[in-house]
Amino acid sequence: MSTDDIDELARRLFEAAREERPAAELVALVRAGGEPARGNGSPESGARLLPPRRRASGPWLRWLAAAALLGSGVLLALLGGQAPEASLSISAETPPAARPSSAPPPSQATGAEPAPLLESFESSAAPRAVPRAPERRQRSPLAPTPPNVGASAPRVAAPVSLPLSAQLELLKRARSLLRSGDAASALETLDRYASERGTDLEDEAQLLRVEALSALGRRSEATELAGRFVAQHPDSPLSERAQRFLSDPGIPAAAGAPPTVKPRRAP
Amino acid sequence: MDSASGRPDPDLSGNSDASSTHGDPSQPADTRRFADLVQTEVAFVWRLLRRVGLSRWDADDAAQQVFLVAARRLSELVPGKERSFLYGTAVRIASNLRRGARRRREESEEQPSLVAAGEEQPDELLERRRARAFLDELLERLPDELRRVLVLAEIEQLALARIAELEGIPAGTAASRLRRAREAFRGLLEAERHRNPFQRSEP
Repeated sequence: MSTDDIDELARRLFEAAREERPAAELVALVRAGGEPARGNGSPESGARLLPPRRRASGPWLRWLAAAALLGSGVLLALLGGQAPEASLSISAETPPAARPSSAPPPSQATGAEPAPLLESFESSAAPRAVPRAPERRQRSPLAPTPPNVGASAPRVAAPVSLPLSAQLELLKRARSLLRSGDAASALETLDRYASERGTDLEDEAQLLRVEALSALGRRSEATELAGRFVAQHPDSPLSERAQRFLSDPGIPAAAGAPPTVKPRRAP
Repeated sequence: MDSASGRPDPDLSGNSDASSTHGDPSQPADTRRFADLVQTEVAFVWRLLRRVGLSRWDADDAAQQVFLVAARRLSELVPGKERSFLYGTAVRIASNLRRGARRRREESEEQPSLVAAGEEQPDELLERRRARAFLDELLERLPDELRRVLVLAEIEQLALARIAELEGIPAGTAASRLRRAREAFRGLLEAERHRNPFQRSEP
């Protein structure tokens, strides 16, 4: 291999790396930021993002919480006339950009400690950069809860849709679990997704479920679900993938551990 | 984002020019600033995380952490210095992740996914994945400081002055590192010449 060949190979390798992009999901979720909960705008909206276990640990949710915090701080500034630094300066760390260029970067940031989790998302303060998927169910995102519903279930049962960002998080989580071979947990995550009200990504979730079932060795269920998907969504661009699965049920399953978690059925 | 004002606009009341751009007084300047930051830098941050040794999935998580830190400290970021902050944060987070857990094999790169499958031709996709895996394997053999400058120069195509700024080193040091990195990389390529990942697809 000549020097020119080496240079050409290097160029192509770097080019391949340059072309790599983060998944649209990641970009969308990061852009979505503290997307307001699409419920009645009550404090319960944000609190219902995900179960507490996930809210306390997942980096996605930590990020969302920080974004929510950002919006909340802004709201405080609006209401109380505070300067943004006062409301947004969470830590007392040295300002990162203030360090001299020759000094090593601050090490504190590496910790990325979870920001204090807000119990609600402030709908007016957060960006909505991600176009929402078409509404499939009748809902009134910011409208007050109908009186009869509110009267019968004053606090707990206020119907709230899951924010798109949280939906993406759940599906990403399921996919990551599939990748790591934990199809059982992936299925559990998909069950959790299915149990949420007002979801927009059911098609994607169904295809992931096909994969999860297949990975768990439940091929007949996977095939049945894929077949139903194709029948119900003949025009969906995702149908092609379900069809591909049907035509080749031996599609590689994510090297799965034996199922350890019984999936719970959606209510 | 690159305004020279030194500190971010403290006016969150929607009365500043920037805040009133869209006629929405409830859209605060910091929120928009953060959205801009994400939009312009997330791909850079993610690619960097990938090339310093994280899997796609770890890079996803690490990118979230980077922007989480950025969100928390947004008010402290000097306009125009955001990328430096993100870069330093990303390098540290990646370093921690790599220390804590060895790089996972990317089973996803081997196994097609129903949902994740894109519109790319499988051959091209495979070729590029193979190329990136090969590149990462070579990069892993470089010392971290050489690896980073090589990534910034050859993949991100940044100028030497910008590389020096991000790394927090003098320009002369950056130039020296880049020269050494290129030499070392070329040596690695020569040693692995039989493994050209593009060879199969050549006519």
